[in-house]
Amino acid sequence: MAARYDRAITVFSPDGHLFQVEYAQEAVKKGSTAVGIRGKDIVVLGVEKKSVAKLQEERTVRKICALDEHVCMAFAGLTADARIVINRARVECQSHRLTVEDPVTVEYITRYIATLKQRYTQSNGRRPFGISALIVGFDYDGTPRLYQTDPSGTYHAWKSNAIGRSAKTVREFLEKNYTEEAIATDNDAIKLAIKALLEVVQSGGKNIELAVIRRSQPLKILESKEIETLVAEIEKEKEEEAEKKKQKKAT
Amino acid sequence: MHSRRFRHTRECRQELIGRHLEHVRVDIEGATSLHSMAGVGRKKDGAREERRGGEFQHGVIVAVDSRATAGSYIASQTVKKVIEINPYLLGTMAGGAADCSFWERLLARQCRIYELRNKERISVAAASKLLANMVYQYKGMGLSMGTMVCGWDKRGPGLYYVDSEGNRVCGDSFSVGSGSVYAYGVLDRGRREDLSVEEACELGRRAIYQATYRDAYSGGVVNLYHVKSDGWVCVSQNDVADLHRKYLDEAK
Repeated sequence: MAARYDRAITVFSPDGHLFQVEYAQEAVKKGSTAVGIRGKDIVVLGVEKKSVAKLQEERTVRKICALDEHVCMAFAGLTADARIVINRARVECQSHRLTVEDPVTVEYITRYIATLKQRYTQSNGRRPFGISALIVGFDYDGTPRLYQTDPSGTYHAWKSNAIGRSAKTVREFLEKNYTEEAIATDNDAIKLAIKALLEVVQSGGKNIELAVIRRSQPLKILESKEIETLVAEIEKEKEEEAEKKKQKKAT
Repeated sequence: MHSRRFRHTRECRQELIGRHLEHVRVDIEGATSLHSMAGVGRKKDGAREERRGGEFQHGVIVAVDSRATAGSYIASQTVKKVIEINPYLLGTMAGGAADCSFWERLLARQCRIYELRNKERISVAAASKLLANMVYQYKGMGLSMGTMVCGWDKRGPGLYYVDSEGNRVCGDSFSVGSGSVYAYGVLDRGRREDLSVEEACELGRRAIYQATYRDAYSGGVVNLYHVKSDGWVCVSQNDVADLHRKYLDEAK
């Protein structure tokens, strides 16, 4: 119980840092990569799946979770912390539906999660949550949204972003390749997410988990077969690009 | 949240209610003394003033009278029974004046906070729900409030009836108060899909006038408001006596 502790754990350092929060951000950097893309009529979340032990059931390891019909999130960092945050967010989504008679906007639930995280950086006897979250979804008026929160409790809207291990590499890839035409269709947006993850994931399609939300449709987690097909398409496109370049060089 | 409703039984509360208000009846002007000794309930109340609200395609028309009574004594003929929550939300007052105005002012505060936090106006459904949830916590403790929350939000015009019993209903038209039955007669007869703004205002005015004609506890002036997409406007204020003369002349 927090009341028994009389000393805050997260205190300022002499030069103005909150070290616990920064250590939490380090914990996030150790987690597996997650990428989020905001398309025109679709939002995509992709995570790097850690290889599952032989005897482990695959279905229990899910890093993309629905918060409501129209909102879902992926996280990077401590899975146990994420479970708590996701539970609270799910309750808040339903609570909002009850009191306001409207589904949450993505910004509202992101603000709620961020406020929750901030509270834990300023309470007695608690440590910050060691997760960064990518929250995607559609608002009631049909606008797609992507937000990112981090352990300090700040949140920002993004067109596309990556968190976790090798987030920097993926973000640089996205900065180069996220253009209006790259996300022109739903399929293109999905392929961009896969391409981004393939930069950092080791053995290709098997280690990627992908989820999409289309406007007015619930969360859909892509099956491994669909991902394999898309990966194969991407490989083919890459080869074609390489061929074209060779021909250009030759001529 | 610890519900205070269950601390006393209903029977105990009712005795207290009557006695409590006996004292208050003398001090506070007008609309407070609306419980008869028999108990809390709209039908048993003798002394509610009445108001009427109706939704149609051009928004919401809200018409109220302005009489407050303490028993058979007319405490005031100039009560403002429409409470302006914010520029696009109106609340009407029936029941205890103190209860109505206090809770609706509290609702105005909540609505403003919502607006600041979420950068968009609160919907009528949410505002009425906030009010209903606030007073539900005091259910059984003697609050007396029957109000209509009227406004225009992104889903169009909205009209909700909320009272201190915990009722909250959405509807196209309501008539509340002691003279409500008379107003319903006029309202239901004259209601059409394709009313123009003037016709609807006249319908509201007529409904209130008829109620003041027959109901002893209604009278004074008819205050008429129109809630449009960009906010409410006060349309007119007509003394009931003038309306009487006007309708009499029209009939001749």
